[in-house]
Amino acid sequence: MVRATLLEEVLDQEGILKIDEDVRATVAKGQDAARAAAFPAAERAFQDALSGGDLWPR
Amino acid sequence: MAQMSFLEARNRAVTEALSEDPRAILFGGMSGAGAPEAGYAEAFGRGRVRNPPVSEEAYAAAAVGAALNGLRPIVSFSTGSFMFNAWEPVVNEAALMRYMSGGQMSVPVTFHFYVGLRPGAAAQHSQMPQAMLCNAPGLVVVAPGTPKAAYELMRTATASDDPVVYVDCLKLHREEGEVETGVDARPARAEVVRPGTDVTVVAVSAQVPRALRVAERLQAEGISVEVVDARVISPIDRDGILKSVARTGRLVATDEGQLTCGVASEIVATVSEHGHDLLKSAPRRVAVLDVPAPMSPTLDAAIAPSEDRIEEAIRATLK
Repeated sequence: MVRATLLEEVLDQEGILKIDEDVRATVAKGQDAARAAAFPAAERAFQDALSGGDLWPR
Repeated sequence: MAQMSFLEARNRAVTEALSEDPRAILFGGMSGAGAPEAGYAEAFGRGRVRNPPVSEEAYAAAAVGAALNGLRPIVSFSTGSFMFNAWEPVVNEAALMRYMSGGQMSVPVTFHFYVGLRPGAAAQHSQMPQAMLCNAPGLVVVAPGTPKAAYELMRTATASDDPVVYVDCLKLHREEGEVETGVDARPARAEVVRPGTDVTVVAVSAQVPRALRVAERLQAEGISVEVVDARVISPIDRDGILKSVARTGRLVATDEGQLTCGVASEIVATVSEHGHDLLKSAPRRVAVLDVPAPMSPTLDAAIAPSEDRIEEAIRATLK
């Protein structure tokens, strides 16, 4: 896709590198936020294994 | 309330699920009493009722995909042995999708199959994978032992957003009992089907009528047996079972599945761990011996968790 974008002159190399940089920055921001967050308690970490409610025993 | 067979009760629940919710679809064969007279496909259309090719992995995976896109499939594998061919979509996709998506996705599929020894069915058509499935986090496993449970657990399974394995047994299909149909899904818990004071027998699936017959004949000797239909075998109803053991102080757990790491073993382990002080004697397990199911009906009877073996276990807890 990068090659096609360059050949079709949709973006130049600088534009492509800017997108790449933006994606890296977004991922790094997300990782920093996740690492800074409190680690969930074990009982909360697995609450999505089943949908919950009272249909089944706990 | 109406008197009906186990098979009719189960099929009525399937019929109600398909009637009430256009998202409900059916893969595989279900028929007999309680099903629409001309069959499910005629009643609900071939768009919703599929008779798939003999490719369990393909149609189980299709059902998982359909569930992820908003449908609520009921999938019948027929004999439990065939379910091994669908292991990947059941235990590695359906069971885990909710957890892996942080609760954003659900896979509301009801997987159904038959287990239990059948004379002449032999090793490759008599597999009993219920305990293996209890080892798959994210799955609910139910195993009704009465017509009432057959109806109620199918209603609960088809109403649940969780993937549910419905363990059926052909030996139960002619059992008769009172069933209230046309009711909403109810929370599924272990149920006392015969009260007693001396020994609790927690029975799974086809072991429920066997345990009831043993309880009846021991009553003549003054031995009072409480029979509990386990109904949900994963997650097990620990509190319900412990309440019964608290009343009787003795436990026999019985399942028509393999003994080692089996459902009966899990019940005994749970009570031993959480209710050790309630027990007056060592708990007992009655299950299928750890050998392949034989072709010979004589050998088949020798490995089965028979009424005689249940009675022997009950007497052992009373010594």
